[in-house]
Amino acid sequence: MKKIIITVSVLILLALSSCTTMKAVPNEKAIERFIELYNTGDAIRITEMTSIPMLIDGEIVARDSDADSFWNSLAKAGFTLNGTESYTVEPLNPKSSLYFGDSMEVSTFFTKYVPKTAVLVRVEGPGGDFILLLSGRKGPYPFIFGFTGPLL
Amino acid sequence: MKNIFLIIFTIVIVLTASGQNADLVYVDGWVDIRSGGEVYEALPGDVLRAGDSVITSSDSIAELEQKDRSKIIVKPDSIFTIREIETDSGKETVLATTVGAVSFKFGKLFGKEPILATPSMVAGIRGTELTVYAGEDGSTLIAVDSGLVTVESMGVSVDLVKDEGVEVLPGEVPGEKFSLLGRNLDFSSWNAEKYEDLIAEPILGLEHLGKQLGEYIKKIDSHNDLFNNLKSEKEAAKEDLQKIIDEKGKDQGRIFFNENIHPIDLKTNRLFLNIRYYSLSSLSFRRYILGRLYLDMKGRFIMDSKNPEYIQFLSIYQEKMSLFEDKVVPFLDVNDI
Repeated sequence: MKKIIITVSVLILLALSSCTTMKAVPNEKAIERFIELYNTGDAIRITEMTSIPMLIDGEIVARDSDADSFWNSLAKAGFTLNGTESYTVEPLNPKSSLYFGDSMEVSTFFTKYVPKTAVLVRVEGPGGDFILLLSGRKGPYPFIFGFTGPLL
Repeated sequence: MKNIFLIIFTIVIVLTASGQNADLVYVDGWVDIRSGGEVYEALPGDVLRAGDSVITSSDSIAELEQKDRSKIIVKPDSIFTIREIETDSGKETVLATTVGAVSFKFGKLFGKEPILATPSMVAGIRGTELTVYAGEDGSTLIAVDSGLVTVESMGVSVDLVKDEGVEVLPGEVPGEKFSLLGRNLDFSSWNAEKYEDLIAEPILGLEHLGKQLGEYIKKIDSHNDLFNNLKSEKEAAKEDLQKIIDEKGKDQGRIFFNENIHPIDLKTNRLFLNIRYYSLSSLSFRRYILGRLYLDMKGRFIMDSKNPEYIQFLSIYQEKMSLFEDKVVPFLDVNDI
């Protein structure tokens, strides 16, 4: 009986960890796990958690290889985000896109590619605050849809 | 009689349109198709039409075939798009390689031969087998295996025959042509070398890329000026039409319409197609060439964002983007993004 319970539990955990959705509001734990993952410098894993197309400042990144190259360059530069305790979370609002830029491409990106469940996570980094646009979930982590900063 | 004319006209349109299509016959690895603003996984049997793009990843390739058995091989990490443009000889298909390597083997084409394009050149072809390499720095390398290719950039043309190649830098005229005999062209190392050169002097590189973007914008502007002139002409003609209908009746009005307004409509349609062609080419250039450079610079200076070189780069980049927003964006729609 115990074996069956363990097996079923393992199967449920496996099923949960493999669940992928773009439309789920990331909770605090998921956000913190993402920041921790980011700070490990594991660019391969971050690329896996990147939703393509992605927005970096006012640039729409439409190729996996460009996203991969960007995350690698940040890791190579030693860029990390400050801790998991000093961040703020803001739900999407009509002005959210302005963090990234005031252009037709940026506003279209938000309308077309960003789920309503996305949140803007403001976290401190070198030279100022950075914004992570997160939504959904794959295993323990949310997907990243956008990255910008340092904010002026 | 009118019906027969309509049927013939429709058949001609369908034949012309089908000539621009390409069937996806082989896919190895994950390949995307971008069509009408949607991106989906490419599978053998999919049909690409004007406006559609094939996007391969670092370990995938796609093979396309046209009705005349022409073959197009889109190699890894490449973006290939079928577009249309109006020239003096009518509507023509443009096979555009934005980045990456694409090999072409053209069969005996029915009707017009397509135009090949990259961000830095256009090429006319005749019975040709060739490979087009579009570098991430905006440069192009063309290698001809057979037939004749005329490469044009910044108003200067170079003819290439079997075993000849040429390199075209963004915003420059074609370089000296060279022999391919005894040379083993390797796209990855050529592309890496070109990109290293670009990133070594990013401000100079950005100026060159800006020149190329400026060329697209010049073409958009000149077509748009003509388009606006025709629109004014049409407004005036519409007023005349109303007067003719009031004074001479509907039959005379119809004759006036066919002789004066319909030709303006045809011309404006052609001009609009070309404005869209250059706007979409600008968008691809901005997305995959300029955007890539921006990302690299951001990564490079993320820990030193007050660096004077980076600040100068951002200032020039912003200038180019403002130009893009003013001159190109008005001709784009949400499906293009």
